[in-house]
Amino acid sequence: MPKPWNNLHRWLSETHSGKFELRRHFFLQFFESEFTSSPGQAKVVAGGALGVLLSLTLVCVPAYYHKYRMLDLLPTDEPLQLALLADLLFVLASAAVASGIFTTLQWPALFPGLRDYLALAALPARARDVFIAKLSALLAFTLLAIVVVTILPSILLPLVVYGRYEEHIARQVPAIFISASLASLFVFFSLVSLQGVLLNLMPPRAFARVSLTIQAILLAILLCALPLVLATPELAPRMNLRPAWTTSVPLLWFLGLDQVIAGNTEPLAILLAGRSLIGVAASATLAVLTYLWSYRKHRVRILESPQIENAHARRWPELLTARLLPNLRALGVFGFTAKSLARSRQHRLILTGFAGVALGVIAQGIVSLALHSRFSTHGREFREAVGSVPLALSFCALLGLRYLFRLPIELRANWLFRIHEPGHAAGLLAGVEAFLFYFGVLPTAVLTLPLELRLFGAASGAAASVLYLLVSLIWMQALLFSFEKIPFTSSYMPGQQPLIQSVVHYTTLAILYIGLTGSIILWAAETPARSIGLILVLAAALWKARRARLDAQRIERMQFAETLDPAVLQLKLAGD
Amino acid sequence: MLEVRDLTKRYNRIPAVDSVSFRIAPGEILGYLGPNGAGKSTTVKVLIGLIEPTSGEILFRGRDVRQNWPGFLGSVGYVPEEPHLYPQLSGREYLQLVGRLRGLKRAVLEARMDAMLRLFALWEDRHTPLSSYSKGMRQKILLSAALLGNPEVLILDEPFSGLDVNTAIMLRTLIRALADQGKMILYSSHVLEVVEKICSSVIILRKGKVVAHDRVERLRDLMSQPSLEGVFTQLTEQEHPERVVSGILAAISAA
Repeated sequence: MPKPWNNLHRWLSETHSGKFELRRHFFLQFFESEFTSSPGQAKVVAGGALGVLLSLTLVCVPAYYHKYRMLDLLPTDEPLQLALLADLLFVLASAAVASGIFTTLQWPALFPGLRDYLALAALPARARDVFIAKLSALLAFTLLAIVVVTILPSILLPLVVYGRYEEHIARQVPAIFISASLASLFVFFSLVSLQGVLLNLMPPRAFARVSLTIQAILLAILLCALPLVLATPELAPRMNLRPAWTTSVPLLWFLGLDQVIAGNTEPLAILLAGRSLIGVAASATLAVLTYLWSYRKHRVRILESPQIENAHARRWPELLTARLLPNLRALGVFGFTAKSLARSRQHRLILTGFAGVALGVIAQGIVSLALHSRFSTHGREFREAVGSVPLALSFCALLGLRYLFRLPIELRANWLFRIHEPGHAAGLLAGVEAFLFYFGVLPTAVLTLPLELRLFGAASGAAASVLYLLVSLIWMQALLFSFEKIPFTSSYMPGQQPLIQSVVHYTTLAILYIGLTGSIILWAAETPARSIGLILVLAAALWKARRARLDAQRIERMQFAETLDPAVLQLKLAGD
Repeated sequence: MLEVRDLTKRYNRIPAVDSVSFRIAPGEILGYLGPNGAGKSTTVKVLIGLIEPTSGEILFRGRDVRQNWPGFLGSVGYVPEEPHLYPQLSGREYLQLVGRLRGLKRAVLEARMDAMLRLFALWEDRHTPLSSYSKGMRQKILLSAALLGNPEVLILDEPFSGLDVNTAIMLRTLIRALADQGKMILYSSHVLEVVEKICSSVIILRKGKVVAHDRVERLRDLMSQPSLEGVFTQLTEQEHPERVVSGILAAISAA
């Protein structure tokens, strides 16, 4: 190992001042998650994310290079400049959304929590020190994340654009890096300020509820924005428009900043750049002020306010589910799943994320339609876009639920299921199937029924609804195939397949499921004969898929671990 | 009758439990003792099917339990050493889940559940999440859950952990009463005074092997010790407490 690394390593392994150790503690905490079954797995996930970033770069760079070489051949530089502006906006929007998603996911950890105070209670650290250590660790972690996200596009975009119309790489690199980083910081500080203001204004009980709702809404909005961000380069032809409202859009402030650093002296660019700096300074000041203003209050609130919220003892859900599920073990799993999902903040948040993606896919379809000026409520494109709603929702809802089921809650408590599952696997899995049906398939079908009736008329709408329902049920069976787990009871091993592979896999599935199947259903819904024919085919496919799954799941034991205990693996203590 | 024959569990050829055999007759409370790492928890985990034995047999009513695991587990009530529960559920919801997993009909389950909650003084907190329960309250929930199915075999691993004095006295009486009803009870604990009071016979393990298996009084007589604690210390060859204490004191005052 080189000498500087050795020195750094030695310095890090020493004990330093109490304040430094607090910062180190909080900083390292950001790398751990309660979902992972062993410490350090979060680092593997972070490494995977970095891998995805690199592989996306490898895919994007040749495409962008080719695009800019073509634009470089044109007689005027205007198309290239417009495309560059749109791509800069794309980079800024990506960085800002990534920062927003990151901060929203860290939402409960933005301020020290009860666990922090309890764990540090016996140590000689003042509340103020704990608070400041948390803020600085959070800031350090955020800066690290921002640098990781912005550094590559800051270097690569100027390199691929370089040509006869764009020669100032030396200016563009810092321009993109600074503007994208500040855009990310602006989002980060704004969200911290938002929570700080809420913390100071809301009563303790209301804060917990409102905070969770706001976190979920933010996450849904940000994930919903992702497909729209991906469509930003399509705005290139509109980039020479200068409507008055541009000065009110924070993202465009940072585009102005980039332009000013890159040497643009247009008055609009200077105005926007000024606003961007004021925006960052204001949001940072507000974040620090709310943070410091709330530290004493927050500590008292966390430690002294009653946190217990009793479970509601409503009778009707119990009676209703008992009627719907006569198998007692299925009923047990169903109730356990529903209650766990309703009370686990993290799980609900992830589900909201999946809902955000579904809404994003729908919104992107409609916005794309609007951008291409084919927005007519009578056109086939519109029917296809709206017709994709039930499929997009059921795709994301079922996939989201199945993914959530893999994430454990209090893993060590699964002994209860382990000692009760022998001989009853089928009953327990029936509870999982019922949950997916009643909370994934049915709500989607019911919620989108009025839309289909309005879009297709009564008869065709009803037929389309049945077809969507059958497709959702087949998708549910496919997801349950080889899923031999009780929700939230198995250890979770992330990164079993490379993230990029999962993304490609599920994107292909989404295209097939939402696009292709949607088109077939629209085609079938046009005539009663086609509708009936397709209903019969799908019903037979569903029956076959369910039978195949049940046959495959005639198992002796269910799965409670995605891998061997890492400690056992390390010590090579696998049983004889 | 619950019978364990030559039970062995090895991890990478190192035996955690080595040829352990015992029988528990109806009405018997068998104390299962040993220092940390002796193999008590491993035996218990094998008995309830959480881990597979390397070799050996478990017979229940003369039949190998592997022929009908679900049937055997349906007859077992288990209180684990650590109170790992689902914190998101309330006490009542947890018992309801256990009852449903055991296949208890609603009317039976509700009656038993409500009775348990009242008798263990948890009624007021029945809708409170388990995350807010004290250690003793969690222990009461585990005991209630173990008794909910009226099992024939009870496997109790440190059941008195965290209980207040009154509940502990009640539980001691309850365990005796359950044995009088013909239940078979395996009682694993480090609290030797309680073991001495309630167990008909004891097994002492050391490094996975049985070093003593007899009635408490007989062991005391054989080893010429006034209490079970003396028998235990002698058989398990514990390091002398004074030597350990002086070692700790030296460690914390070292520069």
